[in-house]
Amino acid sequence: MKGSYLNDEFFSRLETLSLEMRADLAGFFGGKHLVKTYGQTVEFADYREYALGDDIRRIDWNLYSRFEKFFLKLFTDERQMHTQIFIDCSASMGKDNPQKAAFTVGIAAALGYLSVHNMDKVSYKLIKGNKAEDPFGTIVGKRAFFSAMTGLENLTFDGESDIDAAVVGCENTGNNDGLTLIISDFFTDSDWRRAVDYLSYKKRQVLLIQVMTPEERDPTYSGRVNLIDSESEDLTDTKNMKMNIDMSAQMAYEEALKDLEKDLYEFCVSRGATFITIPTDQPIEKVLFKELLKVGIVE
Amino acid sequence: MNWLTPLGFLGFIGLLILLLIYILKPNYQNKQVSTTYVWRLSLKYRKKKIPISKLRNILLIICQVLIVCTCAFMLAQPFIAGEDKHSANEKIIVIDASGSMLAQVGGETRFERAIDQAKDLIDETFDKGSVVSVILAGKEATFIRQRATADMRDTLKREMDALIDPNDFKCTYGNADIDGSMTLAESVLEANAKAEVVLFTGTTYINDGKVNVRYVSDPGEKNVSIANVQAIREENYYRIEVDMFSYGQNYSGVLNVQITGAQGTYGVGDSTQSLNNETITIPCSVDLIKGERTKVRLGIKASYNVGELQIYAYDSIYCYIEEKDSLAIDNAFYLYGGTPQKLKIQYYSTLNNIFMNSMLLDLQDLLRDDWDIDIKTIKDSDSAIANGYGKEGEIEYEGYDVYIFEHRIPDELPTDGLVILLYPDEVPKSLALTLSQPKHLGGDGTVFTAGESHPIMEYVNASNIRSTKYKTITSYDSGYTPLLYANGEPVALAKNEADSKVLILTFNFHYSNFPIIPEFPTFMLNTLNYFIPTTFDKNIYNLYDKVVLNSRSELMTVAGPAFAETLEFETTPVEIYVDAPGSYTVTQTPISGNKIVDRFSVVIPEEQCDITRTVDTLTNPFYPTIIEDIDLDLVIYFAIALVTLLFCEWWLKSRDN
Repeated sequence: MKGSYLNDEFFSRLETLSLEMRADLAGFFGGKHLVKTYGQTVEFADYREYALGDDIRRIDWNLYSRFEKFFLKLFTDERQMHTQIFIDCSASMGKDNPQKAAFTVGIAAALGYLSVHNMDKVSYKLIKGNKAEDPFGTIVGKRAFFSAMTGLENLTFDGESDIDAAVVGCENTGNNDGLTLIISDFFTDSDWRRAVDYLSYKKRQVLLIQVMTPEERDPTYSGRVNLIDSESEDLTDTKNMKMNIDMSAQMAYEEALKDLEKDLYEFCVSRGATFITIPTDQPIEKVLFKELLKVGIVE
Repeated sequence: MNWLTPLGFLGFIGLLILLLIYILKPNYQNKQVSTTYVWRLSLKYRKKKIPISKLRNILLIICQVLIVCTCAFMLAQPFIAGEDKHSANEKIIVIDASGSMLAQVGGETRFERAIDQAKDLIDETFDKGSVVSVILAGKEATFIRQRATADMRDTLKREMDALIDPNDFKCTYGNADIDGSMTLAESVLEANAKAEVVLFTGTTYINDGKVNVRYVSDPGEKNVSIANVQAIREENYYRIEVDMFSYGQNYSGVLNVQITGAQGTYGVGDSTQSLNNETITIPCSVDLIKGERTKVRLGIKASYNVGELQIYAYDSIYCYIEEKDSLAIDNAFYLYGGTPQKLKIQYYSTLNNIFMNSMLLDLQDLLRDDWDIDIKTIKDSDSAIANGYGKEGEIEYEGYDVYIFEHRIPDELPTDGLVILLYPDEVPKSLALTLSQPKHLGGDGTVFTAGESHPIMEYVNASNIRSTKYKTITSYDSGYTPLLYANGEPVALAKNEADSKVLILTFNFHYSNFPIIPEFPTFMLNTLNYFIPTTFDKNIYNLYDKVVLNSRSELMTVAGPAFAETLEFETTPVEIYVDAPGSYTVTQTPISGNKIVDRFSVVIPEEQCDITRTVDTLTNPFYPTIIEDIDLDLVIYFAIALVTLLFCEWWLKSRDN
């Protein structure tokens, strides 16, 4: 892929980061994520009074000497999470814009790497049409991850995508066991709200990442133009538009885009999800080390 | 808007080229975008776009069209011609309607000729697309129509024809208000200082200034005028003087002098005719030189030998000529007033005083031009008869204009005339007043004071009157007016009502200085003028004069050429205005039943008889300063519009960028 970010140097800079997930997730045994449940780690969490059946080895004798009552010391638990990354593979995500495609893949790879680096499981769901393909399966460990990266680097963007149908129709979305990312430009008629609702219902932590090129944010063209949608089949496709782009049209575009972003943000907030917009004209490191840090997804 | 070079419109071919370029211009350029999703969303936001957006879209082509249009206009050179409000074609027509405009030749008067010529001028002016004002200079100047336009052609001509309608002929007999017409013309000149003032007149102006004077007189006009007639009494005989003029040519003809009610003698050759209230007509051959006054004298000391005419009384004099000249209104002249009206006075006294008798005789002489006073004196005392102050007679209670009763007053008073009561012993109950007992003072007596301001007391100084014996009037009704007071009590009252004309003096003339001071004749003269006024003050009036008519009856009628119907008046004095020459008759019937007929004549101004009159200078209207309007070049405005639109485009495009 032209302009690919996937190289050793890129991944080495991610070594210091880790994904920050909600503590109320259940996850799986064996991970590194602290959760609310009590476990067998060395990190003290709380005391509770002894009850019959408790392991007497965990009685805090110092407290007994002071209160002449039995108290148990409780410790936090650490779990393994399952990170699912849905990548919008429609044409608008990079068919005619390799940088947007590379940026999308780079973000997906980086977040996947952070997962495997923290002993989590990761799986990539490629949204093509109304299906979510899972060509790499569940990836555990860096070896398997880098193996998958080869395929991810050669990812092609074409056709349309239906986020709603792909997410809802995905066979293994998990339940209260990790983070789900949807990377898309969300320039789609698909009902992405339903997808978020579905993931929330599954108690997944949800992060929506909108990838947007500078031209999409602020179109520089004007005048009488025939806008040819990259997802259109031919010139007669109804997605294509003939427009006289003047200042008022540009203002309307700006307003429509602002409302779309606001809609995404407010809906995500209402569902406890996180939404960020990532412009492709920024260095990807800035996105990882600043934008994601800002919303608390990585630490 | 006009065009100096209409062929410049060929420049509009550029518009076709411009449109062709727009038609051939590629419409849309393909642009590959990742998605049109947001653009589709933006469509609903674009619905809110403001109208200027459309303008902005077509601004470029508007500018280009304007550039092409401006080039075409520059070639065609558009301009707005300055408003033609100062067109010299506009006419202000002034028509002289003075008496001299009635001069006619061949049955057509100058005035009719002026109307015809004015109508031609109106047509000519309207054909040039200009406007016309018409002013009639009659007794007062009036607009017939102000700044009429061509669409009012028929209306204006009808109005012009109405001026010479035989039933409502608008030409006057007197002087025309030419100055007033020029003042009216100024109001039109304020709107158009270049308007031409055209005066149609028969009067020649040596210096007519800027006014275009069009003369409507005819070379064949001639006029013989009787300008004035006077009857001058000298040595108790009348001499008749007639002033005559001939205008246009010399005149030799006959002046007829008809004397009505003549008394005296008239001898021609050896025969002498005795005239006893008869009517005679004396034809006088006259030779008049054009433009010169000729005075024809008849009677005593007359220079004109038409016979030996000696008349000491006449009723009226009617002078006329039978010549058919251009102006007929001055061919006759009436002179009235030769025989004064009779005024009958009855004086009754039980103690006849010489002062009153002398006063009546003085009044008889003083007023002989106005009144033929007939005095009847009735004495009613032996001493008076013995002194020869009067003669025995019976008191008459009707048929007199003035009844004077002194001392003894009859129980029933006359009602058909003025009743004067002098120091009455008693007063009849019908007078509704009471008297005090006689007051006899010593020394110089008491000085009178004046009562209310009253015509009888005009020029009478009450403080000069004193009396040692008098009665005061202790009560009287509101119809009386106190004239004199003695020690605050009235001693003289006057009442002037239709059925009761009374003057009461309650002081004794024999015990007063009143009969021997100048106030007495003044008082008596005022009394006669107040109670028995003359019907009018002159026998000859000039045209347009105000005539004040006094009546001695309840109904007065006036007939004359100025009035289509006989006028009737129940209350006098009344003012009438005479605007037609000729003889006027005033008729009244007093309570006595004797019909009183008075006549006066109205003459036209002497200058209107002069149909060849020449005036030095015609008063011109004030011509305002003309500020020339210049033609307005419109290219500059197109250029301004173009630059403005270019600026708008620049501004809008800068916002786009």
